[in-house]
Amino acid sequence: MATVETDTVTLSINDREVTVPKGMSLVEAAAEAGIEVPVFCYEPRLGAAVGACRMCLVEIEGIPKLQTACTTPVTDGMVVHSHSDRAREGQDAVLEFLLINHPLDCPICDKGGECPLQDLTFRYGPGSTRMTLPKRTHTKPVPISPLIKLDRERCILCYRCTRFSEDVSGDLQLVTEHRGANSIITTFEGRPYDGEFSGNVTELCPVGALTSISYRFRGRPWEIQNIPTVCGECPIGCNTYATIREGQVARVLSRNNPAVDDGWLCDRGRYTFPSLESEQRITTPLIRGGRGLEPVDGSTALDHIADRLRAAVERFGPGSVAIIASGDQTSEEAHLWARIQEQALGGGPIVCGPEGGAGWGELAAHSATIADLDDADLIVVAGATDLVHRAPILELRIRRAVDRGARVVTIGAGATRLDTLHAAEHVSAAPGTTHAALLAASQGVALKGLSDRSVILWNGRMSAPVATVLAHVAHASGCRVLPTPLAANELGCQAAGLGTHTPAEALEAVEQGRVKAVVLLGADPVGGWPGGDRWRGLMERAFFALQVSPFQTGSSGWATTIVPSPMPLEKEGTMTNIEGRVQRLRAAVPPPPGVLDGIVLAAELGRRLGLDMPDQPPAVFADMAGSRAAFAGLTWAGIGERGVRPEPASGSGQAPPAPHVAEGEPEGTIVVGYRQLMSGPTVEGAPALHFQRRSGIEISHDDAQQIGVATGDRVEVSFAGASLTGAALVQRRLRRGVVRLATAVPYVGPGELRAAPEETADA
Amino acid sequence: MTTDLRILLDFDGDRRDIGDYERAGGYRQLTKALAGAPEDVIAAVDGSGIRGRGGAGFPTGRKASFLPKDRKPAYLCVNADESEPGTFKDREIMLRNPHALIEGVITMSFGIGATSAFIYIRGEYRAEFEVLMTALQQARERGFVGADVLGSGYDATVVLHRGAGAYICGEETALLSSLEGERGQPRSKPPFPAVAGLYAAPTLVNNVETLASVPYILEMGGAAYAEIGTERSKGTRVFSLSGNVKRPGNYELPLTATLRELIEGHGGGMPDGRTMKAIIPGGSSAPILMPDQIDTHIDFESIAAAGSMAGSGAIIVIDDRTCMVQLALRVSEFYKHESCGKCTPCREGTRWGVDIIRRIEMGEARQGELDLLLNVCDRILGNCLCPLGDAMAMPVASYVTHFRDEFQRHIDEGGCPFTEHSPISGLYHEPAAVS
Ligand SMILES: Cc1cc2nc3c(=O)[nH]c(=O)nc-3n(C[C@H](O)[C@H](O)[C@H](O)COP(=O)(O)O)c2cc1C
Ligand code: SF4
Ligand code: SF4
Ligand code: FES
Repeated sequence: MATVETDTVTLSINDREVTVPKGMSLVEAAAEAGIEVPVFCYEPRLGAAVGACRMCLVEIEGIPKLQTACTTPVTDGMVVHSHSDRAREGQDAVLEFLLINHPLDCPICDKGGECPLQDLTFRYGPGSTRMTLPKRTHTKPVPISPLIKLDRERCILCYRCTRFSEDVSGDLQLVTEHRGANSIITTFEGRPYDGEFSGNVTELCPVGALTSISYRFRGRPWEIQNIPTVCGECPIGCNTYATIREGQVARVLSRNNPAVDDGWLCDRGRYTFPSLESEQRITTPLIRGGRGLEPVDGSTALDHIADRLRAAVERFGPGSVAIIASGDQTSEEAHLWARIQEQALGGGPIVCGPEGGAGWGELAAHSATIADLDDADLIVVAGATDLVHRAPILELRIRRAVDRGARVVTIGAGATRLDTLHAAEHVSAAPGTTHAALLAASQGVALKGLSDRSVILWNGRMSAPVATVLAHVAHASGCRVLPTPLAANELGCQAAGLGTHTPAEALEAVEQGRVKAVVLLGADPVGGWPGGDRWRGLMERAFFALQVSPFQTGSSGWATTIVPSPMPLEKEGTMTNIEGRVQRLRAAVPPPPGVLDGIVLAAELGRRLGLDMPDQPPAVFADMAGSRAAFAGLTWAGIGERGVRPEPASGSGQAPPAPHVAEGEPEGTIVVGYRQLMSGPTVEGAPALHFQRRSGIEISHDDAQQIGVATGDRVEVSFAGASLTGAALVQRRLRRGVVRLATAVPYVGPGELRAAPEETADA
Repeated sequence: MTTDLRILLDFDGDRRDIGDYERAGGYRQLTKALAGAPEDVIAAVDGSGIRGRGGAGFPTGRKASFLPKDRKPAYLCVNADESEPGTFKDREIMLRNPHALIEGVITMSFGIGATSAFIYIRGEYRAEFEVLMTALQQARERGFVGADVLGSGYDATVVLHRGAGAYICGEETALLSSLEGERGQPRSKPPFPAVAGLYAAPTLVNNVETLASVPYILEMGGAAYAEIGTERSKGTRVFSLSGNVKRPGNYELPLTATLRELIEGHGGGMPDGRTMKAIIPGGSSAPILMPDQIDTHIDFESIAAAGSMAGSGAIIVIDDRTCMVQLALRVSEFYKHESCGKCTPCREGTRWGVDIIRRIEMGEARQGELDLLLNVCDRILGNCLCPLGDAMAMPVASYVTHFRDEFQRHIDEGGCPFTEHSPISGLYHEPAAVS
């Protein structure tokens, strides 16, 4: 006899037998059987079902009352009917109750046509109304932030939005006020909903109650097209749909990929698309002449660039051109530019991003996936700032892991949101020595229990010493590591050859006189990188300085030639995310007229320099897969809707070299200047997002006492040869001696803090 | 048949002072229990057959046995939110016999291995709160509450928490949410509080009267307590008698008594010149019984068999002057006002129902609206997350069913035929709250 399966149960739903895992809810079991049970409040991503809306009422034989399928676990032998007369009567009743006070303004509602309330009413609801009394009315719509409006008359009080705010993002800003029929959704104390994940509630809302202001009255579902792509704003690469209407991006929605984003987006990813039409965009190639920068057409620009690059190599020898990339390029663009450098320009330095990516290679064998966080027993988050600035969506995953029982240890300067999670422990570390603290903690009690079920999230700059520590700890404990790159496709660019030197190495080459020409790919080293003066020196003296960028930046003033480039929503190609997943970017809209496609630009330039380069994305991908080890074996078609993550190189299995970290802690004030999530040119081009910017200079309680200031008082911080004045934000949990603030140029190093003299102007 | 057996309130005056309580034998059962095994407490309660006095009438010993034995922390929550209209028995127990409650709480806490007990008391019960505070202080001074109770090694922490005025917080899961500092809204069951209650820990929730009975049960022995009452309704119960009777008040009766004994015997019957129109036998959420059902027994099954429910033990007598539409309006307005708003049928259905009833009372309703009202009640009934929706639908439907003609007259005559005479006339003028 066959052994009895104990972890599944068999039940009948609408006379269909289905065998499902124990503990599953009836809604899910029905779905397995291909049966739709109507739901509103049920949304597994919000945690346990709450049974609030009562839409999912079904009849279960042997139980007198109808039951909510979303909260009912399956049991063996259960006989369920979701379409019986009684079940349908219950469903009809709930819909009638939901509709009696609904404004029925579907003709002008943005949700119309893609609205679960409309759809379910059509399928399960009453055909007419018996409500003849005055409906409940509310002032509407009310903005709950510069991004979102709330129409309380349309709200069906499913509490998805408040549950998101409370249980998923933990920002606790959306709340319910009053009770019973007078219940309304509102924000805490009526303040604007200011949280990096706020836009998700517009997608969770099953009706047109919460809508993005930028999409209100912009389109009807039947005149739009949803293009599947990925977000190019950070290295997570959340999967998205770009909604296109009349050739323009009208909104960005999530495209749930459980391995990457779980269907969530941060507000930067969701709401920066208006920067596509930003006035700061460059829309034509420019060549500096006697009267400044003058517009030229594309082929003139290409001829000129090819000519200058050839001249540089001829005059100053091979290797005299440096490529400075931001790391936001697609891997295909990166590959072609790397080929140009390698095969036509004699292999000069290539830098990828201000952090310059040393050490990544060492960690490949230990790399974690994003999903590893889900069943990690211990998650270590090491870094001096809030994770949200480098890897926003991961915060939500960590919160969920904690809800499921994971322990979190944060190592850093303190006063981050993850420190306040209920299962979090904190190890204080001076900025700049976080890796040393991590090493020490891994050998002491703080990280006892670090095992192959643990993940270390490195939330900071990668460098050779950091990589050595991470590799050592991973090797010793079996844990996996997930370091956060700074730029969206930093890993893909590196893998495609665009990134051979650290910024320091490149600057050294410049200052030794080996570099005479420079190509800036998306990068703004003058305005946004450490050592801006030295980069400016290079630009100023350069024989030829080309900037390829979507926007005018701080570096533009020193460029001799500028070529506009498309933005991620205008590109075909791939990007490699934080966990090494190669994902497809699809051009949702064409770049503005005058802007050459990124691949075409590189390919045309390559041809002019005598290289035979493909100019179609699939062909470039094949070319890249044929020559770059990280892409070996991958095919364009094989990437699919969800991306592919090639198995990382397994490594030698030998113990990595023992790390040597400097002993002792730095003295005096340490300033941490970080790039905040809501910064950069795309955020600049989306004014509605600006209210989410963090301002203020975070200082510790002890330091505040010492210099005699309180929150709101003005303080002055000097570091890196400049000084800044702003309002102090006293943080009890911040490490003494640390001053933290959002800056355009990342910085960690010594500085000075003092109370600002009276009457100083803002920096 | 004796109807004068009293257990909980078998004395005149009060025993607020711990000395009075101890002289009457108080705290001896706690002392004895602490010397024995916790399971013995639960076994005695189980053996007594006592059923919860809060409303649902669930066997108390059985509920206590649902708590997993080895999971810590575990909690006992005392439901002192007493808000069902017509119910005022817990306050009398707290005012006159507060130490019985405290002794019951500590004993039961010990029985289930609770690390803390929380008494959730109705916010309006200011005097009762003060009395309990004083009683707790006395009990603490005498070593019955606090660390290492009477040297037994058992630590009894008791927290007194005042509610903020929401009826729904008497529903056990809403009570737990409220205690946790969340919005007072019920949670879907399962999981039941016994498995995941307060702060997701195993939790036993019991009514004041239930817990105050525990010392007496231990004193008599479970089996002796089980001798009182009917086969499935054991012991005595404190009934709150109100409405149109001569002597309203709390009366403790064994569960073998009849409504007649309570209303006519103890309550003195109807005021002179009045006749009985209906009886609400278990708090305002109970469907009415008719005067010819006055010989119904007041135990849980008999009242259920008669078509209603014993509920919170509040018996309200309605006389012939009372307009049933007005009564429906009063009752339904209460539940509409107290609906927490979490689930759809209750939130929307109670509001709609009230609006229809108001139109009937005002003479604005059209033919057919009575059936609409019944259908709205029917669509609420059984479809809500917690029983509050039913608490509006059940009584209203019963009024319409038993007094259909009276409702119909309001529609036909375009107004209320009782207006001037009905004792609750004029109470319904408050307009619907619109935010
Ligand atoms: C809407 C609603 C209100 C309730 N209010 C009270 C209350 O005020 N006091 C009470 O003891 N039980 C009340 N209950 C019953 C409790 O949910 C619970 O069943 C009871 O406290 C359990 O205690 P017991 O087993 O000792 O009766 C209420 C139930 C509902 C559905
Ligand atoms: S606003 Fe939308 S998501 Fe929030 S409760 Fe209302 S219907 Fe649900
Ligand atoms: S029945 Fe009423 S009180 Fe109970 S959960 Fe639903 S809305 Fe809240
Ligand atoms: S979907 Fe089941 S109650 Fe809302």
